[in-house]
Amino acid sequence: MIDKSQPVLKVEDLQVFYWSKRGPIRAVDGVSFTIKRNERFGFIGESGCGKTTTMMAVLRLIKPPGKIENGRVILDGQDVLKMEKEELRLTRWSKIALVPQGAMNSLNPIMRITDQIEDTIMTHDVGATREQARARILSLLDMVELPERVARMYPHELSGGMKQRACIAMATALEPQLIIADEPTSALDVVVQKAVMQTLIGVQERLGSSLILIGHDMGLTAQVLDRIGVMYAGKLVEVGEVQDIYKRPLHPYTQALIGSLPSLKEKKKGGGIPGLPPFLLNPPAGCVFHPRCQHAMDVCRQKVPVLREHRPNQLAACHLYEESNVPI
Amino acid sequence: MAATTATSTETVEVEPKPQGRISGIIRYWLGNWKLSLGTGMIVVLLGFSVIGSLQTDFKKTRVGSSPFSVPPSAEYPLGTDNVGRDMYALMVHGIHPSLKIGLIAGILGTVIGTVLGLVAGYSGGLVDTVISTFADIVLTIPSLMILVVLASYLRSTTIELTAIIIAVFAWAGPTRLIRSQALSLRERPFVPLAKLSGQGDFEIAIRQILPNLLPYIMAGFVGSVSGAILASVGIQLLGLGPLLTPNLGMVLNSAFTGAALFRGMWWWWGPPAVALIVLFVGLFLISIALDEFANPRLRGEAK
Amino acid sequence: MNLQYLLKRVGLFLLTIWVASTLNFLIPRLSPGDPVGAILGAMQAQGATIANSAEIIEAFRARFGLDEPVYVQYVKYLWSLAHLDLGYSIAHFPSTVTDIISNSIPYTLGLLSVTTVLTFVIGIFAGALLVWQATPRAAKTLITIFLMLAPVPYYLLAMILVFFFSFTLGIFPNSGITSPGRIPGEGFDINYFLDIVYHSILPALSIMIAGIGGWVLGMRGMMVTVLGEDYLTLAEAKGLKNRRIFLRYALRNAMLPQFTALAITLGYVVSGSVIVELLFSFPGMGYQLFRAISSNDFPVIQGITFFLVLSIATAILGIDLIYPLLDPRITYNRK
Ligand SMILES: Nc1ncnc2c1ncn2[C@@H]1O[C@H](COP(=O)(O)OP(=O)(O)O)[C@@H](O)[C@H]1O
Ligand code: SF4
Ligand SMILES: [Mg+2]
Repeated sequence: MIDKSQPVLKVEDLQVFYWSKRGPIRAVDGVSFTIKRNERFGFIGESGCGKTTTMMAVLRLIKPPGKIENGRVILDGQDVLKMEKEELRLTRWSKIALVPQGAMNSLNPIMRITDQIEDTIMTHDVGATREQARARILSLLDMVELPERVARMYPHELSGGMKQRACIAMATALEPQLIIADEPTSALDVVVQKAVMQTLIGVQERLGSSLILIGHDMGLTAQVLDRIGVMYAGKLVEVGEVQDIYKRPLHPYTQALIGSLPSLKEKKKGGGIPGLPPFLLNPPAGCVFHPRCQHAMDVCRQKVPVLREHRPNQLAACHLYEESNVPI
Repeated sequence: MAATTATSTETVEVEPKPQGRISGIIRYWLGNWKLSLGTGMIVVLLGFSVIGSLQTDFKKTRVGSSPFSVPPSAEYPLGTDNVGRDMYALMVHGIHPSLKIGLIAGILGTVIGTVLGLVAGYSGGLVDTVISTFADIVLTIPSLMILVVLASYLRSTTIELTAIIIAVFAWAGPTRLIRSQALSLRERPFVPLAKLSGQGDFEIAIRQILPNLLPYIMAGFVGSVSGAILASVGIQLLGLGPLLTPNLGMVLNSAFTGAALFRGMWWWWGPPAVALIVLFVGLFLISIALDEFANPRLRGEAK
Repeated sequence: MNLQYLLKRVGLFLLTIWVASTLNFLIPRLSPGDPVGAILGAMQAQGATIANSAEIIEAFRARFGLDEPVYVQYVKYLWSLAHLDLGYSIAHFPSTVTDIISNSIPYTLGLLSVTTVLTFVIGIFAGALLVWQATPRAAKTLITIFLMLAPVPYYLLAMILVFFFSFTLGIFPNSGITSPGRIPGEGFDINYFLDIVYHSILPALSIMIAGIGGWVLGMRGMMVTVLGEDYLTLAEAKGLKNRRIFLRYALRNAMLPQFTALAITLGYVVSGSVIVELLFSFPGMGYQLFRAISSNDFPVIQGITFFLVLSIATAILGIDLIYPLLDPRITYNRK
């Protein structure tokens, strides 16, 4: 049974490269984090910074030319990267489920929704008969506020929001301990975004599972999260509780991200962050952020900063806070 | 878009340059084994035929010019057939006419197909419906069937006439291919861009869309050439078409009617069969390489 | 399946038949001289002694109705076609063309339907396996060999097969449909049937071996695309078994466009097998067509070509009508 004393997911020093002709693209480069039971954790960072790759590595779904170079992924006490094939297959979805980034294209276009959920339930041999599985699917659809008839429908007959809900229903089919939702609302319009997000949170609370929520900006998702991890150029640069990250961000990149949030009061767009994220084929030496950082020092160009706790429960990878370079 | 969502790895769609395309194609040609091998096979075959035919008396392709049914020897490198024709002479004088049928029909079919496909794909509406319906019908009716009926009324045709008759049915494939590509190119950003800069429809079709279709046009051309040769050999095996001038279909037909297979005269049916296989495989290699060029997702699979 | 789709498909079917029959009407009339004259001239040129020539001329004058205006001829022609009345054979007068066709249909239909379906199914699987990661190397090599055979025409492969298996090894017969002198027994004679199958093996193999590569090629391309789709990644994330992912998620999706391709290539298949029949003296329609050409039997030539077009169009209509059952997205906009 579930051992509540240990974290649901512990990732250590994860490294994933995509091998191009000109060398490795360092999509994820030494990322470590822990997801606690019941927690809602958000990953945030510009698109292309390695969020999806990190999550796919957790599921061990990296395909060539990508390769997991290093690291440990401890899911519910077991290392996913060391599992046998069959063990891995059975672990997927029963312990960890995914609401994928491209939910629009993640449903098999020629299978009815019910069949796509049913085969998932049946293949994991949870002792359910087909009838029980079908009944369960109807209650799942109900839980994500989809009418019963959706079960008999094909993906192309559903709107974007409905597809997304169907994906959420599918993710919860086996009551996993951890659900990863990769930009679950980014392709939807704003009104639908809010409703889908509420459904997702509601379902997660009902199951009592943990949730990793990925987003490319600080928008919508923030209010519902417990903790946030900020990624930049394949590295985790800051981790902390939501209020801390918002009110007192440590890392200059986080500060810039928050500064670039559109402010409702001033009714104008944030300025954005000057410059572009680095090309991950040969990232800058030292701190990857230094070419865009206002506070860059000599040490930043030479030494890679380490993710360390600089305030209670708030970690950052930045030389500014090492040896009290700057008062906090 | 705010800088926060831009990625350094996103490719920005640039207006493709025709010149860049052509030199790109040439570079690709030399570096791709399928293209080099395919072209090489065709060139060797054609070279064998052209050089050989310059040195070999055409009279040796006539009935009774040599002893009957002798196996290959120093004097008759590929032997002779059952009516005393020198097989080597038949081959060297017969390969290039077969290619000629393919080239004439292929060029006609591709030109007509490209024009119709561009018009259909770019203008849409009723014009498109009429053209593509007609192309569909022509594709449904096997050209060999119509050719058989036509050729049975027009006995003893020439190489050129056969090629033209075949071309009547060779346009439908390229039309469909070019149409669907023109349709998708029309949606690409550089078309509205060109419109904004004041280019007319015709100019856009010629200057923007056509260069981008080049790989498809070439693939369609290669397909038509090989289809035309296939059709010509087919009607000749049925006893129709140009059976008087030497060409591969005619040699194969005489080997077949002369029961070369069962008389053990492998030198009779073997050479035209090998030449045709080299020809078809060569054209096939070129056409899949062109497909892969136009469609990069196919590259690097299953060597 | 919506009505518009249905109407479109049936419309295309009728249009195809109409175009083919109109071509059949026009070609004799566009050729130099009058059609009956051309036919009889050809007969004379052959030096054939024609026993009942007066009767034949009468029958053909009546059929072509040459004294009537062209449009009347045309309407009469279409009318008789609609009744599957294809006229008389010259070489075997007073046999009708329909008689000759109906005697050879079973062989052609049997050979073609079995080989086409087998080729399609094998090609689809082979093409999908070629791209699938878990396929053993040996299987991939074998499939690649078939891929290389894709451009080789059926008849050349038939020659090579006959050379090895019939002429050199003597394992298979090289022509005919039964052993010489063999007559069917009472009722269903299983040995007679097996003899037919035995004689059909080489022709069938020629069509199949040369045909599989084409499907492998098409399937390979589509499979590469499908394997990159998000729903395949999700299928793996769901912990489905490899086999199910391959069959239900990858193969099923990748094979859909191949059905449209099947409709398009049927003409090629039929043309190719016509010549294979002729090489093997296999008494189907291809062989009859060859005999008709050799004896200048124009009505039979036209009748057989028309009938083959009709069969192809019917098969395509069938495929088009089945397709929406396989692909739920179809309200049909052909690309
Ligand atoms: N299949 C791939 N081949 C090569 N590079 C890839 C591939 N997938 C992702 N990348 C690269 O890895 C980096 C991280 O991508 P991704 O994980 O998708 O980022 P995010 O989800 O944060 O937008 C990007 O720079 C991207 O270019
Ligand atoms: S380490 Fe240096 S360059 Fe990097 S964020 Fe901190 S201050 Fe800026
Ligand atoms: Mg992503």
